[in-house]
Amino acid sequence: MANIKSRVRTSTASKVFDVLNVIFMLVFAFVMIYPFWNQLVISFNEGSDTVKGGLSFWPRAFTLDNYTYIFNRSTIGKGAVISILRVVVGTVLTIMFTGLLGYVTTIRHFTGRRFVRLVFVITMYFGGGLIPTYLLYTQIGLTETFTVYWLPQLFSAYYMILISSFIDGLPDSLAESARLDGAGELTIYFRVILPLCKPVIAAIGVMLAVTHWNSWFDVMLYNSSGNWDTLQVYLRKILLESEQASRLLSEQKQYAFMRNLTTSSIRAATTMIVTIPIVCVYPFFQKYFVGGITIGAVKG
Amino acid sequence: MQNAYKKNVYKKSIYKKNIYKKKVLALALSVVMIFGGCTKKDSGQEQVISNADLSGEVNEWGWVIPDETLVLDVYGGEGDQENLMKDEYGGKAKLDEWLLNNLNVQINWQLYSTSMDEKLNLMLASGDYPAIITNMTNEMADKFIAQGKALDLTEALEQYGDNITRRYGDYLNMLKSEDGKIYKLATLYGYNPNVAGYDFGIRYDYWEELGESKMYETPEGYYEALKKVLENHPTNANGQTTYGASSTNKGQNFLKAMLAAYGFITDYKYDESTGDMVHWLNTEDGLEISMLVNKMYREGLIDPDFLSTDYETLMTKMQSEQILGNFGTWWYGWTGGHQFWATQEAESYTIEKRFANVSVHAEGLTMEDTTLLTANYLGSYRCIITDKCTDLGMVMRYLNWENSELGNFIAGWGAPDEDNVWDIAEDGTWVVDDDILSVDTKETTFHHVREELNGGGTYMIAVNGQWMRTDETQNFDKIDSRIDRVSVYDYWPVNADGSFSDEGINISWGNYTAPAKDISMFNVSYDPNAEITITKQTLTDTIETEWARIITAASEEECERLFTEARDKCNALGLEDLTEYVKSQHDANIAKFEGK
Amino acid sequence: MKSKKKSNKINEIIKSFKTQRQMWAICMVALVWVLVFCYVPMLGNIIAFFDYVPGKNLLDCTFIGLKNWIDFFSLPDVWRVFRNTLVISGLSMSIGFVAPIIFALLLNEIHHTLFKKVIQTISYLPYFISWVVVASILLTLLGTEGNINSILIYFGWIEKPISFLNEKSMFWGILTSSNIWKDLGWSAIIYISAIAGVDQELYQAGSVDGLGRFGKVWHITLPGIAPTIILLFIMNIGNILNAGFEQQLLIGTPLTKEVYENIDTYVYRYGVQIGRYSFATAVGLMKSVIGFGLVVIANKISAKVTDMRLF
Repeated sequence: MANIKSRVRTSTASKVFDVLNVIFMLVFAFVMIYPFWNQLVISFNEGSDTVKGGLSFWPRAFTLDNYTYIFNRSTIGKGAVISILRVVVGTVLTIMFTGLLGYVTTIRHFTGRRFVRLVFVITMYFGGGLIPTYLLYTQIGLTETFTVYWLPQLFSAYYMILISSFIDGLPDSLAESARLDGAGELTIYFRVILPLCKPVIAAIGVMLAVTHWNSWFDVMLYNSSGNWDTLQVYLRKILLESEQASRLLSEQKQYAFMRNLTTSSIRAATTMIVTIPIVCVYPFFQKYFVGGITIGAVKG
Repeated sequence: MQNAYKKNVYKKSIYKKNIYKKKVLALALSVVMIFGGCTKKDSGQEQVISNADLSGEVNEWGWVIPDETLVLDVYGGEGDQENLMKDEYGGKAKLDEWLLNNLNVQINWQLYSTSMDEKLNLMLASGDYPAIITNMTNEMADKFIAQGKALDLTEALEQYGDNITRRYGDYLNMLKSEDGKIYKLATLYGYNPNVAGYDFGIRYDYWEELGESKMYETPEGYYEALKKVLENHPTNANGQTTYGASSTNKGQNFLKAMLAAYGFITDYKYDESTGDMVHWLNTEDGLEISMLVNKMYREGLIDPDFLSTDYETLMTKMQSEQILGNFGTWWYGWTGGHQFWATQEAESYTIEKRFANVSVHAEGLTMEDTTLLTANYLGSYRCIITDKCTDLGMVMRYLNWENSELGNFIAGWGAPDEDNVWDIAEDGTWVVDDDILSVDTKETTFHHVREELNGGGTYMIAVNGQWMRTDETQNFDKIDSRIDRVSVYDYWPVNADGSFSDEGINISWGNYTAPAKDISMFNVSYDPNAEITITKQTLTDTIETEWARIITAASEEECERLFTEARDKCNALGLEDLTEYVKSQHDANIAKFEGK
Repeated sequence: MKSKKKSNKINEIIKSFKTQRQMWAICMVALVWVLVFCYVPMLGNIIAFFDYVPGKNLLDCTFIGLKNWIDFFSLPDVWRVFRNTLVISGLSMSIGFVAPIIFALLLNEIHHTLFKKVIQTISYLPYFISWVVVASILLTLLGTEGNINSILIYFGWIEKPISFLNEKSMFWGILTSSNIWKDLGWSAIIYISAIAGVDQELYQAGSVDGLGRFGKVWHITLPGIAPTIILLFIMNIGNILNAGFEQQLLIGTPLTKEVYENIDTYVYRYGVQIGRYSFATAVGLMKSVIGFGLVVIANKISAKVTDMRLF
């Protein structure tokens, strides 16, 4: 009833705003997507043709060569599988553990609350650096394993803060009544709190998944043998060639190297291979926090 | 139900306590390790058991076959290990087989995709590195040596390294450390095999149009020629304004090329008679150079975006004929010019359409005074044998073989074989396949057959990487006389009279007459912890900024003013001290070379 | 009095080990984890006080105390470097911080769900484009023969092309705009999800109270996501000395070096590149201390003013 009444009352100012907003969004979307679209076009265009410049909305010399070059270069399938595994395992575990920790720090009567939060916040600003971390992982046997992909990321201070602030926004009565019923904290977390956190979990899930999907540096550092290479590493190796070339000191080597350098077309193709899967999977997460489902408060 | 739940919690806490204990142990361990440095204390000079005293016959390859397979573990540098092992065309496997069958040697070559310096730091910290490391920078090699991780090679060289000693000559002295011992070798050393170095290049076809009788020989001549060419061709096919030159390193190439034309060596003018050194900012030549390049910029000869251009963009601009000159690195004119057009334009391509590499000298100097084409005999990379090596003698034997003429050639060109680009003829000459005598096939077939099908260049640990020619230290008479400028990387087919078989190459290099200069004595090394290193870094940064300002000055007066400002600024920052340091390093190098 | 309070607090905590066993058990796992994976490597920072070289046993290195920091502050132009760092992060903490929020609010006002979702998906695409590509896009746009110059010349507003990328006065603007373009959609995700968490009933109540559209945003949505905003802001303050690295090297030129050189590029040149590992660590440590110090201050202020605290 109240909804219909408020809708009838929309003023002209409101309508004007709506129109302007839509126009703004369209312009905004164009600015955001155009370079990306351009990269897509370049990836489907012959490298030697791209060099001439002037490509904008549509490929001029259509080709799949850039993609076949990448797919032929290596066992990209295995890399994809490991990447997906890493994304799923890493994201799920981190959300579970970090979320749990986040929840515990929202319990108001918990005396260790501030202490735990402080301990974690410090880690956001102080780090050890490359060599101490590498030494640690080597000593506890994390190198050349799959575990190194998820164990060191299990608890994240940043996401913990975000989740606990979201939980703070939920009514206290929820957890309280469950506690009175005799439920343990773990039960409360998994049965009561977590289901209500869909928006923030979805958002954090996306960010975590993308971080795992994009990471390559830790792979090359800790799993340098190549047995646990993710998809990103295969693609990175292609891109790194140009960086390696710039480090070459001997002119002979530089010339020999530059002859075979990959072009911007291939780089564009790698960007696509990395991004398109994300764009495809994203809508499944998106529905939890953009329109559609309204997460109202649940009473009792 | 409550009790069952309590039990579970109790079990969980015990489980957690166990993990807790394990983690505390691991924690304690890692703390100890970080403070303990986790490297085994090595005596360093321990006598390694050597099986190198072989009593056997020297086989056709100049090698005595050991009873046990010699296994070499090498960290070969940055690269894609997976690609290497994938060995798409079987070249690596073929070379591996040949090495095993003919030398009983197995090489385990390891590449990592991370930056080599980073990886080496980690290796040092964790104490986990292989027996041989090559392609490392001089600084990293010195780091390993300073910590006693590199083996002393002096005795092994005396016993087993006769080829190495022979081909290095007195240059070997320059690799000695403070204590007079040798701990490192060069990865690639020797004479520069190139014909061109710093280049004042121009579009040959457009220059021909001008109808000049002689190619320009001075920077001013270059300026004039470029100007005329740009007047004739103000825009390219796409309607873009044309320019004479651009840069991929913030304009530094202009500076280096000009300094070379004026006879400077790595930024300094060295007076042989007095032994004095002076930095270009403190010379009149420096001002002259600045004025000329600034004039070029003001008159539209230099691409206004030269400070934001990278390699790819430059290639695009050259290939799309927007840039009609090549002021700097010689091979840019090749990859950005005829090598592209020849494949793209196939039928309509004429060999005159290329960037000619041209050498110039400053007014008052001769071509012999210039330093456009230089060689650093010891190269930029080093190779060490670490304390993880179990048999230094045998490793040295192999390196010695690698440095024999035949071994050197095989390292770069693969084993002689009728399916390879070369084979050994009846009379002993190293004959090349007729197919590769055409320059076209060099770019495609040659590299494909040599490297991908036969493994050439896969394993080069510490070889002579530059021009293979006959002189006092080496004899390469056996090489097919139809090719010249042979190195492990490249070669050029020549006619009987010595000119290049390919007409195009004759055009590219015909106007490059600067002789090669040996600048090995001007090698300077900087200790990371020394004050002078910071001074050098500050000055490099300042000069980079000042030079960009000088080039883009709006008028002659401003250019001169900026130059003087730059000179004063740098002198205030310690340019004199740096010059002194460079000079002292140079003198020290000479002293080392002469064996003092 | 204070010591009594402290010992009371500690007693309280120890007592609660029993009563709040579950919570402590969960935290124990987390605390052990953070000890091993975060605090143990942190000990590595101690090399900032020694002339450490990788591979050398720490006990073999000489203690140099504060030398690294003294060296850092005696480097030429170090104050200019600080200025640049603060300006660039200041811009990103003001404009760059507010922009995603405004975008999230505007997006929330779109009624058509499909349109909303599509726009939101498109908004984060720039996040995936590497800085190398962004630099080349900027060159195409702002180069001497780039799009902007062509338009300006075509309309006769200027005669000679402007070298945007070499202008000191424009660098900060170009850099901040690029940063915002790249990160806006991605940063907005968390705000959009926070908006989704605001109780719908509040809006209905608001309508009943006579709130218009803008009123609803001001009185309901914003307060609803205020906790998120404040927390993110406090956390961001700690990053005030991290002003980017890759972008500066790719977009900057020698003519703009005066305004782009920041602490990270500086340390890279004078630390990492020369191989002075302990120097680089020392500067990193200094950044952490300053950053964290600011977070503590911001946290205290926030606790007093808004009752929201990070810890």
